[in-house]
Amino acid sequence: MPDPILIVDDLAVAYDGAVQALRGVSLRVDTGSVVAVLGSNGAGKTTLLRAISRSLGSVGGAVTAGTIRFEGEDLARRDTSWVVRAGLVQAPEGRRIFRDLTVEENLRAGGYTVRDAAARKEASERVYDLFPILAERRSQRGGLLSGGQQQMLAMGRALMTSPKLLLLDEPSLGLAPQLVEQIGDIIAQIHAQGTSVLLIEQNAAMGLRVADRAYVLEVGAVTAEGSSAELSATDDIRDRYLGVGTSEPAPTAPGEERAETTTGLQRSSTARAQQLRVEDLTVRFGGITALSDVSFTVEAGTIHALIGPNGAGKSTCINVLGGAYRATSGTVHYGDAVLSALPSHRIADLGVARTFQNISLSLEASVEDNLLVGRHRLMRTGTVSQALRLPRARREERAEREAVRRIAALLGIEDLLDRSVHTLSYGDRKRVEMGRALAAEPTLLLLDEPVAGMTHGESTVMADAIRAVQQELGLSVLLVEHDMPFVMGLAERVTVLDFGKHIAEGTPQDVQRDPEVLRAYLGTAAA
Amino acid sequence: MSYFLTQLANGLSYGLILGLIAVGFVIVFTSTGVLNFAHGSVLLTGAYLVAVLQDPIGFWAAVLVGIAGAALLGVLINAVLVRNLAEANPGTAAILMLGVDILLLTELTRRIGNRVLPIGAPWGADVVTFGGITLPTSRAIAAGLAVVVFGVLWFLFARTGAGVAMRAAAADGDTASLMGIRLTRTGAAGWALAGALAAIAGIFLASFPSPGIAPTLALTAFAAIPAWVLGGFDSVVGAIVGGLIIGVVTALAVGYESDLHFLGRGLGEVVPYAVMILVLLVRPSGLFGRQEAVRV
Amino acid sequence: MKHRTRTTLALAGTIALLAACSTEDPDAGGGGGSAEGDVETGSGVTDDTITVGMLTDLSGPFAAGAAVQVTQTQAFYDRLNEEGGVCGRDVEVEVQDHGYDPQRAVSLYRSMAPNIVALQQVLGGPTSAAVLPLAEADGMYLGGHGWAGVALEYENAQIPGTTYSIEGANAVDYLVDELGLAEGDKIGVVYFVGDYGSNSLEGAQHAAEERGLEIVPQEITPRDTDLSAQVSALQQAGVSGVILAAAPAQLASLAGVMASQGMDVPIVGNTPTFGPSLLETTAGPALLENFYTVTSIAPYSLDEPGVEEARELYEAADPDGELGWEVPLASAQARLLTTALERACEEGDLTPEGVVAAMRQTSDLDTEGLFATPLDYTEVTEPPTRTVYVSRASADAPGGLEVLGTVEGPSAQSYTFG
Repeated sequence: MPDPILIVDDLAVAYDGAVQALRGVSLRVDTGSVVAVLGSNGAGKTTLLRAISRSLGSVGGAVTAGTIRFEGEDLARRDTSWVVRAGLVQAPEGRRIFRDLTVEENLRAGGYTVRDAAARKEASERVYDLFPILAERRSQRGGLLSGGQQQMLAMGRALMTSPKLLLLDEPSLGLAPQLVEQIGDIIAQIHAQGTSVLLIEQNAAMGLRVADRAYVLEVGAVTAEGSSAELSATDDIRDRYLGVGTSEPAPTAPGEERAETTTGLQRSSTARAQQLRVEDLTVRFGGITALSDVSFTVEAGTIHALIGPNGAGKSTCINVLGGAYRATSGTVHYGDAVLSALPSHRIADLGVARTFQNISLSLEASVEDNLLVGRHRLMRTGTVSQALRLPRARREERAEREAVRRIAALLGIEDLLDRSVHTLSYGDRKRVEMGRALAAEPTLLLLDEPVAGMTHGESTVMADAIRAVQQELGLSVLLVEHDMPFVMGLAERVTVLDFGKHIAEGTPQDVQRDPEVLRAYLGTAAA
Repeated sequence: MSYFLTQLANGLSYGLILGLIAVGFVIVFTSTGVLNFAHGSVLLTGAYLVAVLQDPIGFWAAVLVGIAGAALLGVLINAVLVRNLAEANPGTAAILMLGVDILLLTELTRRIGNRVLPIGAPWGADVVTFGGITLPTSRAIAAGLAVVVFGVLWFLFARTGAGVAMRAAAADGDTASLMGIRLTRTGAAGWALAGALAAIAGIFLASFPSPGIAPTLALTAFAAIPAWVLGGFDSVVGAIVGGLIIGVVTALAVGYESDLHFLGRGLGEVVPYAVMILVLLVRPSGLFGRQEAVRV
Repeated sequence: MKHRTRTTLALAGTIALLAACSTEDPDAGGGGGSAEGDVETGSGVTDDTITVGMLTDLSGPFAAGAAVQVTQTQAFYDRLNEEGGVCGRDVEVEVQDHGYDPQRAVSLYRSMAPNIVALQQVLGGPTSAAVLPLAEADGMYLGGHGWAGVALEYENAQIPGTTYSIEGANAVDYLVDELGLAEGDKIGVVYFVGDYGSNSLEGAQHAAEERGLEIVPQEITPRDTDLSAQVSALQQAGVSGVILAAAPAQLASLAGVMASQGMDVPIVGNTPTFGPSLLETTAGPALLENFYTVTSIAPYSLDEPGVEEARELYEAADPDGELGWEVPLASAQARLLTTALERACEEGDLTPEGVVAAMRQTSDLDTEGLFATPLDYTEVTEPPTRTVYVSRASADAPGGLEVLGTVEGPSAQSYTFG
């Protein structure tokens, strides 16, 4: 048996001294191997990585039992800085690149602990070899890179110290299928250069493809482990994480079959969904054209998907619809209103709600409070009567809390209502954000990557929830998503963008057969 | 015309000094998240050290001691008070800094009394004249030096590992620490840098046309607050531009007060804040406040 | 050397403060009315001591000058007590530090009022403004609270000399009569907004109307120590003289900038504008060239018996002390109070009210040169004098000022209060 580079033994971690995130977790990473940790959201995967990289403190977590040894050294008394210098580096979840710094400066920051200029230069040459696109864009600001490029930068940044062990947290998060494959290849390449890798992935297919061994983490404890081949063959794993066999579901006629998920959601107004018409929309940032003459129509009460590779302009499009960006030219009509001429709060008043790709929630507030904020638009009583807790205000507050509870139940986050958001995993936060958008009882819901970071099982739940609210509230949904099974199973129409241009449109079946789309986006994974 | 140019030159040079102070506010804010209301007394401490030491050890040596002293004082405030705050709440820290300011200021006031301590700079009360504009030599030197200092800062932040690390830590401390960057060090470096800049500004603020060190010097740091705010709390460039705007607008408001008398007297006091409020009405995050450039 | 001076000074102040505290007699207020020699007494007077108060600023912006005054006051009463005291009693001084905080001044006044017969001094404009109404209600003598005209509304207020407005009017008269300004000329007035500067501006404005000149006002605050913009504006306006109602830091900047811009016109300052340390700054030469000051109180260097005596006392009490107008002022105020106490004793009423009444009976008090003329306190709404000393900066004179003479100009005479 080869020497282990990392041994985690019987590890327990608690947040704020109360919430138990990990219990008795043990795992080992052998020198020169790739180990994947699979698990649904909230299972404690990120917590595990933070415990290893000694960065729990900043999120209020602490190791309460167990040991972590890196190359035989107990890490109990070591800090992040020491760990990095010893050769263990974590690339954090959500990329977290420094947006205002150039690519080069991001790498420089990554190589901060490397004192020797020659070694630093060598390391950055290696990174540029591995990611030629970064070399091309070395003096561009990180925030202007596409999602895939940002992920490459995040990995490149971590490689700047030439680590012995690289911790990767959800590297494929939010990436198009083609890019997910590419990231997988890059991990294999990094491994081939002699770096051990501990990988967290919700995309179990990719994780198992690159890993030698894998662990399955559920609710803070290891429930399965073994070689990648063994685990891939397990029925349970196939069902829950790989989604094998369900990737091409015909859109089930939702009405009857989903009747039992009725949640008693009711509109408190008579607002109705309208037709959304995007006409010749063009958006430019400085010299970059993010969208060029894009037109499509979302019929009232339908689910419409916007897909395309990273950097195709999907988020830009959503941002224009929500009022965050201004269109350079072209118009957006929602019913009779011209959205492209309105500020974002006026757009919200028209019944348009959105979620963000990079979640924006109040981290310190509880889930319930975050959802209640969404209800704000609908509340009748004024601030004064709320502050005085007049009977009418109390009555309304009870009703609002009930409405919020129903939304939470629908999204499967009912148990999390009292937790503060910063203790939640990425996937759970996505659901909270979705809940907040729903709480406003929109007639048009804009969803930016609603299932990024979710396992197959979780995204199925999300799809059911979206379908249910769409039915009950009669709303229109426009969603941006890379998860093809999710999109194909949910959307009635799909618009495909590439490099800011409209390249295809049609039913999911049509789009999947379109050779243009296959070339630009789906790659071999969907072929 | 030369009257206008003189006022403009005065305003620009004063604005560059304000910029030095405002940059200090920005650096402390981005590196440790603290609204440093003790900045004025750090400035005064640096200038005071120069004034009392220039006689025994000479002006230039005193300048070095003053700058080092102010930097050290900043580091101490950070190490002893800021880092030990149980909760990283910006409000608590800001109020704590107000307390520190009062303490330092009381002690310095006691030492200085109601005297005016000359700074003893070799440029004395000389003036330079060019193209019909008369400018105190100290202000001309201050302007030149400020430009050099800003150049050095640019080099530091853009070209050195430590500077890039400070920017990374400011942008996302959590992630930066995953790169092995010690936030305690970048924080200390930020406070030291801010202290040094304040001392430099203090030396020039106490030079001609000001008579020397008086306790009111600490209040001048507050004049840099509108510059800091209108530039955007977290932007070094914004602080410099903000300083220039406030400097010029103040000089012109005072210089043309007699033509603007329908606005009342004492315009110089009010105008910086009026400009700040106007800018914030149009651009709520300041001129150069962080605006995320996102493209996906 | 300077440093040592400062330390000594601070030490002297502290010692004086400690001394004052230690002489505080808990029973001082219990004197009652049954005194020997048929003198009625009230708070602050026992059979063998008379306690007077000083509410000063030993920790705030005026700490240095205040410490000088405390030292001098103490020295004055020490000598007086050696010579037999007042009314057969020793005079003791209770010193409290308000730190230039009106709130603190009020509570300190409340706590010390039962133990004193009179307040020789409350230092500072805002602090005395806060204490004055309370002292008036108590019928308590209150001296030396600055020279603002508002003090003329109070029966119990003792103004040492004259008001800032009279100083301002005299400054204009002096500029016209002695420094060559003529009808139609402009005079800049650079002033602190507030009861001090604004009061001086009022006097100057009155005088300018009277003499056919024009005032160019420039409002500043104590924070402004770089007066470049103000000077440029005055130069642009073409002023032929400048009156300054501010503090030493502003004076140095004003003079320095004016010199640098080739503005060779006289500057006339109110009493608090000058400090001898200014002559060591870069503005020194410019001050020696163009600076004049109009003061109620005699400058340190004046050769008159009252001032000489004050100097002698001070140099014995603190040989390294800073020299300035604070020294004669403290002596003068102690003298004014002593006079009132003596008269009250003669009248047989050594109560606080008796002391105020005694002050108000004083019509022709000779201070041996500490003030420019004898003082007349009989009219509440009139300043005790309208004459001021005029001095100019001098490198040789102790305290940095050399006296040129006294002035009571036509506009100072015609200025009306109220």
